[in-house]
Amino acid sequence: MKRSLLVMLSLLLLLPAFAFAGGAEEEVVDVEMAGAGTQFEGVLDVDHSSGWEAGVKGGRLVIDHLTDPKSFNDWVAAETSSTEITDMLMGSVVRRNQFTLEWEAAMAESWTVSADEKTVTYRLRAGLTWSDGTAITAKDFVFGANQVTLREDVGSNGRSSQFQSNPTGGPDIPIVYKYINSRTFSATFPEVSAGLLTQSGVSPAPMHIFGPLMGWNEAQHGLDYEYEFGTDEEGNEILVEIKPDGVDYSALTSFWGVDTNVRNVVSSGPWVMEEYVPSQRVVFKPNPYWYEKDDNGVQLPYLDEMVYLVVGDQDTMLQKFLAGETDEYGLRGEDYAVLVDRQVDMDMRIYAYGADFGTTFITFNQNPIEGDDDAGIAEPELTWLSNKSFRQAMAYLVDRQTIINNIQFGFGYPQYSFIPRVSPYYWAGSDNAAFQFDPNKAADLLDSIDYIDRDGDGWREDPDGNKISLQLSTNSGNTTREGIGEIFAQEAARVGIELNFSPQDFNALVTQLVATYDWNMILIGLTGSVDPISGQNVYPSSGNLHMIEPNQAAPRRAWEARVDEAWVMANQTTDEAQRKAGFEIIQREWIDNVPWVYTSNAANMGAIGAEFGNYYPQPIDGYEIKYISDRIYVK
Amino acid sequence: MNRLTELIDWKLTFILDAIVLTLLMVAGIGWFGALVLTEILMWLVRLLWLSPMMLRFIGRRLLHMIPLVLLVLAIGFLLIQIAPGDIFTQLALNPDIRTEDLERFRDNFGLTDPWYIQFFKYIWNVLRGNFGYSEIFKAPVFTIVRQRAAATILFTVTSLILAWGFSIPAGVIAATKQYRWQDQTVSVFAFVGLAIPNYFLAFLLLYLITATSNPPGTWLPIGGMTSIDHNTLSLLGRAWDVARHLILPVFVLGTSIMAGLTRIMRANMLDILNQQYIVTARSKGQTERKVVYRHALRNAINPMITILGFQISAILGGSALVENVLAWPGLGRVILQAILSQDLYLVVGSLIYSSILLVIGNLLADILLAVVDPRIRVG
Repeated sequence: MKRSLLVMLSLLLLLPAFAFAGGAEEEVVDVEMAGAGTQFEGVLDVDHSSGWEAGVKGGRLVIDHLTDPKSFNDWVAAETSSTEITDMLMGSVVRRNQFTLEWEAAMAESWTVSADEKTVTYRLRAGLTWSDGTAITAKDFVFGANQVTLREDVGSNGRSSQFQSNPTGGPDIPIVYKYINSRTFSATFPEVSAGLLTQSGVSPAPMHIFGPLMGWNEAQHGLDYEYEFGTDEEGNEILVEIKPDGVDYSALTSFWGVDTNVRNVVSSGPWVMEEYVPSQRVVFKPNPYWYEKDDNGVQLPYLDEMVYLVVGDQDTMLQKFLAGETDEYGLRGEDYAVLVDRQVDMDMRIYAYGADFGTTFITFNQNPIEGDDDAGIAEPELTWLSNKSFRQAMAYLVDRQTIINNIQFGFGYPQYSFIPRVSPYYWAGSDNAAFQFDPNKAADLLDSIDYIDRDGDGWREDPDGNKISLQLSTNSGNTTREGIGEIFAQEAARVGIELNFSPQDFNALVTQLVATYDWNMILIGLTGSVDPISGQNVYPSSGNLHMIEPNQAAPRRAWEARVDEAWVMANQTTDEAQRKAGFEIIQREWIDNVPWVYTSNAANMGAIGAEFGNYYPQPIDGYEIKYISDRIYVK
Repeated sequence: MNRLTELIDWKLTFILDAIVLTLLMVAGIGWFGALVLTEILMWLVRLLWLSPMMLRFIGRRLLHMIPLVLLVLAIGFLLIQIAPGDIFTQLALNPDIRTEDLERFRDNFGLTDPWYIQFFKYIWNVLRGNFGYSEIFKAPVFTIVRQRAAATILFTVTSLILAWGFSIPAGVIAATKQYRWQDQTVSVFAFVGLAIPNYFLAFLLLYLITATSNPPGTWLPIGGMTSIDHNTLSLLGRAWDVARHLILPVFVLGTSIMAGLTRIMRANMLDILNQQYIVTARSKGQTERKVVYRHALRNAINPMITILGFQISAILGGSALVENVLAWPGLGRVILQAILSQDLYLVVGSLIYSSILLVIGNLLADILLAVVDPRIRVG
């Protein structure tokens, strides 16, 4: 008897834990909605056209950060956990206006484009200064491009974007940067490009620090990037960089690494680093030499201090926000229920600031095996997946509303195009042209191509009697994609198409996509941006990420030829109307021919203390807080 | 050798301590590291006089370490080779990076060589004291480990001390009061500790703290090791700051170690208490206190020391998930990240450190056993 009493007692000890897990029952308090319309109950919409409020100096903002930075050298930093830090230290010549999305002067006071539209000349502001007090001149910009970004031995991720296809054939060649005078430099492209400002809008590199470190000096080695053409072992023509004697570019790769004293890292941006404690935090202070002031002449940034706390886990981030240790928190769909009723007692607000820019889509492999050593997929899968009506039927089966409701907790938007909805290049007709969820139409389409159930087992067979059964994969661990895959496979089963859905390791998936080509259908995503110019490797048939059949010498399919042509039309011009027309063609073809079908993207939501002003995460910057950090202020 | 030890009194070697210490500090090693290194080295030297047998034993065990570390290295390399893709595969889906640049990254990092070439190159580097270069951190593995080792050691050693300090008395009490309320209480706590996964307990505690506080401001910090204003605090304030942050992680890890240890200690004690010589001791009229602590405890503790040896090997990386949840800036988090992103040399480097610790831990356990139990002789 005594023993069972003890067991009861020990169970009672556990009870408080469950009581807390049940959550304190709070009164539901409606947050007053200030004017703006709202899409989600209790969530304010960020106004993307309001312009900046005039702020006041002072205050501290503490935000969370998922993983440690890996380098404080922006030219070496390879992934977002580092670039989110280093971008705070980088100014650039031009940028897109956060609200209008039009280009505007930044460190440049003006720019001119040559008559042939291939050269842009930037005129810098007077008095630009590094955070260590050294003057920033046009040499720093040209040095940054020619002696840092382009150098193979530095291994910069930005190098790829400095190359353009050569109009006379042969390998890609780099953009040519020339120093003109201390406040002027130019960038010349091999051919007319829509990326004139995007790609040449570079940041300065501290020549007075990097130069001596690499054993480079201007008098001896010059500012220019020189190359010649040669051939590799397989006889292909390649571009060969000419390396000046005695310059060790690789010295940069470990410079300003995580073991450096962060106060020595010079900045051309609005912030300087004050402290880095590994795996704990990065502390920023305003750069006293930053050029920008607000309309009232108040020096930016407004805040006295900005702190990134390194918190490895999303649930811990939420607890830190609830505890008041951080001031801002990026919500997942499931966090809404926890936070929405706490806006008043925590004195914070939740904002929805638009659809995520990433894309999520299901793509259909159509890469045939040609020759003995060619990679691709075998019959009969190739015939099924190459059939346009079959792919359209699959497109009818994407139940976007269910995906949003069940997987994204209602916080998502249906997606029909690779271009984000807020972009000026988004084709407004996409919503109507896209195949909306309709299993009946899917079944009719399958009937029309004679993919019907011939033996009465509930599964459809092709005219040769093969049961239609395909593999569908995605990267394991991504619960959103796993959920979308499940829903899609269920819908397919309902119309008699068997999809074997099995998530696998991300690297294995990528190997299939870019090397072995032996997959059927893959659910994957790519990053997106307001200007889709970076899709060069994705949408034209020659691209290595043109997943249905990458690296084609010449387009195999008629619609691919039309996309290739429209890509040139949209990107080898600076005429905005022509760009829009080109992207419209690509979006039309993409929707009609279904090389892949888009599913949905998440709604971006953030919660921030009510005392902070200018919290307008902007679409042009992928809604990242780092780009508005100089404008945020404490009311 | 024998003549040397006969000629010179061993106490004279303490003079050498000062010399070695000065040399190491001149060479640029911090005073604490230099002191530890000197004492380890000099006590090994002094063993020449005190116990040549022990010295031979230690030497042999350290020799055994070489094939073990090589084997661990080979397995580490093999596993990463078997896993699909490599550290740069992630970049392949980035539309902004050209394939030729990707190939150059691989080439620069030496990934284009066959794995056995990479393996032998690495061994050659390790022999010269270079434990490799982390690709994600763009820094030597040693630097990454050094930055975080202190935090991890503070966390795990405190947890170990707490766990051992509690579980041995708790195990003894549970065994001597078998089936009474003391035993039941200890057992229930031990079972709860064993049943709740560490990371879950960490979450639960975080939730408990925010739910019972009135933010902003909680009665215990939500993860991390120092607060943002740490540097502005006085020395005492800093120590208190770290101690406050240490409570949660140490509680989580400490209780889980404690739970297992208590059960083992209890079983050991029960086993010993049923031995004939305990009956003899009791029948001789010795006090119960003497029976338990002089006769039973000293015999029951031996298996525990062996366990201690294994736990030392887990000091550096054994609590990655707890570190992750509680934002503790330790090595486990970095190792976890290195494995997920297939950062070859960071993974292999941390494997080396762990296997060296495993060998040293077991060595220490064996030496301790020899000290504690007169029946055991090294050799």
